[in-house]
Amino acid sequence: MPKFTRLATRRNFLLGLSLLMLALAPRASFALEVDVSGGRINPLPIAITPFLVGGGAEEAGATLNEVISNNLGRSGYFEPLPQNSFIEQITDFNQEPRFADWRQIQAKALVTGQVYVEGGKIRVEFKLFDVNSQQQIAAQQFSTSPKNLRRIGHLTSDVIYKALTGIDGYFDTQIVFVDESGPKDQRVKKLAVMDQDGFNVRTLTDGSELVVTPRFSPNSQEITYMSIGQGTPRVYLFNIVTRQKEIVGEFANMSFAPRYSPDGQRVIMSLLTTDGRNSNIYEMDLRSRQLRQLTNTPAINTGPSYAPDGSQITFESDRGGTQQIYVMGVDGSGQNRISFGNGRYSTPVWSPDGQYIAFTKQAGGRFAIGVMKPDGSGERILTEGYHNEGPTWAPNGRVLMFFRDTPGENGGPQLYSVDITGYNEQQVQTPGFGSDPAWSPRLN
Amino acid sequence: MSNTLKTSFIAVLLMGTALFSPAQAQTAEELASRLNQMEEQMRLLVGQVEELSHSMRQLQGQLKNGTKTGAAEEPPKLKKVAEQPVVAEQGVEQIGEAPADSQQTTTTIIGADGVEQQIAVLKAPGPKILGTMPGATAAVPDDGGFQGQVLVPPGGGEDQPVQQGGENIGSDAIETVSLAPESPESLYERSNESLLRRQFSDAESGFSSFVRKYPDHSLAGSAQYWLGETYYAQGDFRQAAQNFLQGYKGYPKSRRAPDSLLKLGISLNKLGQTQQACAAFGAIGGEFPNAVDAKKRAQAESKRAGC
Repeated sequence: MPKFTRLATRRNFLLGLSLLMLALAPRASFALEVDVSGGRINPLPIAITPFLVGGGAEEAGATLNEVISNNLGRSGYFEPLPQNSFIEQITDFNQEPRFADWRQIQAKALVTGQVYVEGGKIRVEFKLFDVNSQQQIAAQQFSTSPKNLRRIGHLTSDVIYKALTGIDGYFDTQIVFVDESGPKDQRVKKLAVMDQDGFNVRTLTDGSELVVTPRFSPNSQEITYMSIGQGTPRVYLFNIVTRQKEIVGEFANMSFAPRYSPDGQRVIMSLLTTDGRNSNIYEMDLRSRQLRQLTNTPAINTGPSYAPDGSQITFESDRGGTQQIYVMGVDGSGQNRISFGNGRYSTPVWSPDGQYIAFTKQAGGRFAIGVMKPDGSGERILTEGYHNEGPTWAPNGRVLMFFRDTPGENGGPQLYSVDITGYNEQQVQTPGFGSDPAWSPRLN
Repeated sequence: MSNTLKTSFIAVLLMGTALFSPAQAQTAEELASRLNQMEEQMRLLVGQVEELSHSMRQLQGQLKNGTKTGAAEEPPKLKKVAEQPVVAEQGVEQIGEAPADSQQTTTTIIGADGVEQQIAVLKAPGPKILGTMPGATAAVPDDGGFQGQVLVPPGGGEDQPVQQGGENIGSDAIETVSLAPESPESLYERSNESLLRRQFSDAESGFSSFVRKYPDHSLAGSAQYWLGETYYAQGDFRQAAQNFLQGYKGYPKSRRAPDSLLKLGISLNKLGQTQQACAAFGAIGGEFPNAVDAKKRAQAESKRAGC
C-alpha cells in the first residue's frame, strides 16, 4: 500500500474512531446525598430488594426487609420504593446489579442481601450501592442466633443510615416506658421495655406499684425510676435482665425525678424537704453511696439532667415564681436561668451531642415540646397541643420521643416521635396507653 | 447502729411535739405561715431579678453585635455523603471502594465454595461481638461496695415479677464482619467463566463493572476485550465494535490491544462498514509491529473483506 494512501486511510480511520467514541461518552455520575434544605428533608428514594433466602430462612428474609424498610421510612430521611416497581429481580447476591434498571425507577440507593441458616446460626449479608456512581458503599455480614433476627435488621438499618447521612443511626435501641391499662381513674402502670420500632414489648413490673419516670443507664441493662409502692415514694434501680430492684437510698422524705450521670456511676434526683413544701437536687455516688446536695433554695428544684460531658446539669425550678429551666456546674455552682420565653418550662433534657436542651413548655393552657441551646438562645417548638410532655432523645440527637395525652373518658397517653426539625411527627405503637418514654443508648 | 440512732432521734422529736402547749403551737403555725409568705415574695423577687438581668444581657449583646439575640436557629445540617470520608466506626467497619485498600485486603477469602468465595474480610478484623451491654449477662451487676439493699419482689420468692414476653434481646452476642468488595482478580475470573459457559449477561455485567471499577488494573485491557467478545458472540456487532474500539484506544499497551483492533475490523466488516474495517486491518501492522498472530489474521481478514 503506498505511503500516502495509508496515511489517508489512517486519518479516515481515526476520524471514524472519534465518531464512535462519541457514542461511548461516559454517563455523568452524581454523588449520593440525603438533602436537607431549610430544615425540611427530601427523603432519598432507596430500593430495598427482597433478601435472597437459603434453606430454613424463608421467613427471615421477609422480616429483615420489613424491619429495614420500616426503620428507614419512619426516619423521614428515606423513601423505600415499593417492590412491585422493581425492574431487576436480584437472583445472585454476588452478581453486580443492573444499575440502569434501578436508575429507571429513580432509586438513588440500592440494598441487596441474603440470609441463610448455618450451624444453627442465622447468617445475614447485605450490600449498599450508590445507584448513580454504581459504587458499593457498604457491605456487612452478621451471624447470630435466630432470635436476634430483628436486631440484625436494626443493625443493618444503622449501617445504611450512617453511610447515607453521615450521622450515626439509632435503630438498634430500646425504649423503656410506662405501660398504662385500665379505666382512667384506676390506671394500672407497669414498667415496660420495647425495641425502638415498637416491637418486642416486655413488661418489667406487675402493676402492683405505681411507677413513673423510668430512665436508662448509659452503659448497663439497668434503669432508674420512681415507684409509689408501699409507703413513701422512692427512687429505685432495676436490672432489666435479672429483674432485681434496689432502693437508691433511705431518705426521710420522698425521692423522685432520677437520672443517671453520663458515666453511669451516679444518680441525680430530687429530695423533698422536711416540711414537704420544697425540693432540692442531690447527686448520689452509686459506689460510695455518698450524697451531695447541689441546690439549696426555697423552691421546687427538680428534673435534673446532665450535659453529655458531665460538666453541667440542667434542671427546672420555680425559685423565680414559675417553673423555668436552669443550668449549673456539676458541683452546683453558677446556677443560671436560661428560659425566658412566655410560659412555664419543665422536664429539661440535655441532648446526647450537647447542643440542645429539650423541654416541655406550658403556655396559654397548652403544652409544647421544644428545644433550645444550653445558653437559652435559639428556642424552637417542635410540637404543640392539648397535652405533650416528657421529651427523650434518640442517641444520635436527631429524633425526640415524648407522650401526648388526649382528653375525655376514653382518652389516654400515647407515645410519639418527632424529628429535631419539627417534621415527621408520628405515633409509636404500644399495646395499651403509654407514657414517660426514655430512649436507651445504642446497644452495639 | 445508725438505724437505732435514727429511731431514738425520731422518738425525741415526737416527745418534743407532745410537750408543746396550744399557745406555742399557734405561734409555730403563725411563724410557718409567715415563712411561707416570705418565701413566696422572695420567689417573685428572684424571678424579677432574673428577668431584668436577662433583658440587660440581651441589650448588651445587641449593642455589642448589632444583631438580635435569641433568633431561631436551623437544626444541624446533614453531612453530605460526597464529603464524608468512609471510616471505621465503633464496632462497625465500613468499606470504601478504594482499590488500593481492597487489593491489599481481599487476599483473605473465606471458604472456597460458591457462595463465600467472593467474600473477603477487610483487614481480617475477626468477628466482632456486639450487643451485650456490660452487666447484661451477669446475674447481679458488680456493685463494688454498693450497700443498697436488694429488694425481693413483693410477696417473696413465690411471686416473681410477671415475665410476659420472655427473652431479652441484647443477651445474645452478634458476630459482625465487614464484607469487602470482590477482588478485581476474582471478578475477572468469574466473568471469564461466565463467558466460557456462554452466560453472556453475567459475563457482560462482570466485565463492564471490571473496566468501570478498575480502569487502571493490569487486566483492564483484557476485560475490555472480553467485554467486546461477549457482544460479538451474541451477534451484537455494533456494541462489539464499540467495545473493541475502546479496548484498542483505551488500553494501547495491553497485550489484548492488537486483538481488539483486529476484532474491531472484523466487527465493522460484519456491520457492512468495509472501508473502516479495511483501515483497521491495515493499521495493525503499523500500530503493533510485533503482534505476529494478529498481523497474520489481519491479512487473512483483509483478503476476505476484499480490501
